[in-house]
Amino acid sequence: MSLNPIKSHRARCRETRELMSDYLEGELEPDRREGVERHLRWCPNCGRMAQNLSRIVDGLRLLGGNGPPSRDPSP
Amino acid sequence: MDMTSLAAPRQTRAPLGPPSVIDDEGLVARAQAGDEAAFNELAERHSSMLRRVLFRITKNCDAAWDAVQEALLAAWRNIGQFEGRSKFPTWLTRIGINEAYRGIRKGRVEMLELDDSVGERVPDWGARPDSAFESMEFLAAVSERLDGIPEDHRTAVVLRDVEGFSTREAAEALGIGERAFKSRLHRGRMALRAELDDYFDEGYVR
Repeated sequence: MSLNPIKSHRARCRETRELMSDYLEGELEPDRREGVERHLRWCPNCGRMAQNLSRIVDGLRLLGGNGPPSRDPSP
Repeated sequence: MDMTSLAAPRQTRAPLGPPSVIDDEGLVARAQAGDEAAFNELAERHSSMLRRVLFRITKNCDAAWDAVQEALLAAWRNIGQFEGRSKFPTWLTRIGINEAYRGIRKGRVEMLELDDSVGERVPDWGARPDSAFESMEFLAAVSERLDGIPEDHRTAVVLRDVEGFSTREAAEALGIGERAFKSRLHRGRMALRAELDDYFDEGYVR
């Protein structure tokens, strides 16, 4: 089976994006969390997406007058 | 008020004292025994939250107001069926959401798929200080763009992120499982993120 790094990378991006909310809420099992963090470390696109998502969730909480920010997405 | 004239509770012993000092469980017990003042106190406590949620769903003051009234009437009529497995505001919110959807739903649920543009560059919202994302300008943009995402996803985001319902409470309010709720919530957040990409492209935040 030949490796297609672009396809493989995009598959990891899709998988990571599916898990982003659970990751931001600290609800992933350790091995999945480590997988997401590993991907965010070297995929700038997904890193930006996680950061922007985190900012939105914090903004929504402020809209509702609620406090604590979501977890820092930086691994 | 003559407290000795309270009707005997059907399910639990109804606590004595004015409604304003009794917790929700106690008020529910009294309401289930026929005490309208107790139910009115419950309505007073939770109608603001209900109004906010239903306004976000309907995006219309009059429709939200109607849905709140219908929900409170329905809750009073059915208070005997409330078994206390969830919190009262969660149960009330579920009734309210059903009323709101009754007014606006035209067909099947619109389900968002995650944007599959994984190959495209995700915009950088800029090297702004964290305070830029707490500004009134940014929050106004979030609020405005929230109205633009489909209602089922908007409801999930409003319940969990704006109103602070737990995942379990929010799923119960919507009458769906927690996994389904989390999926709806995530899609709503991602849709909102995409909407705000446009906002930053337009250069509103300095």
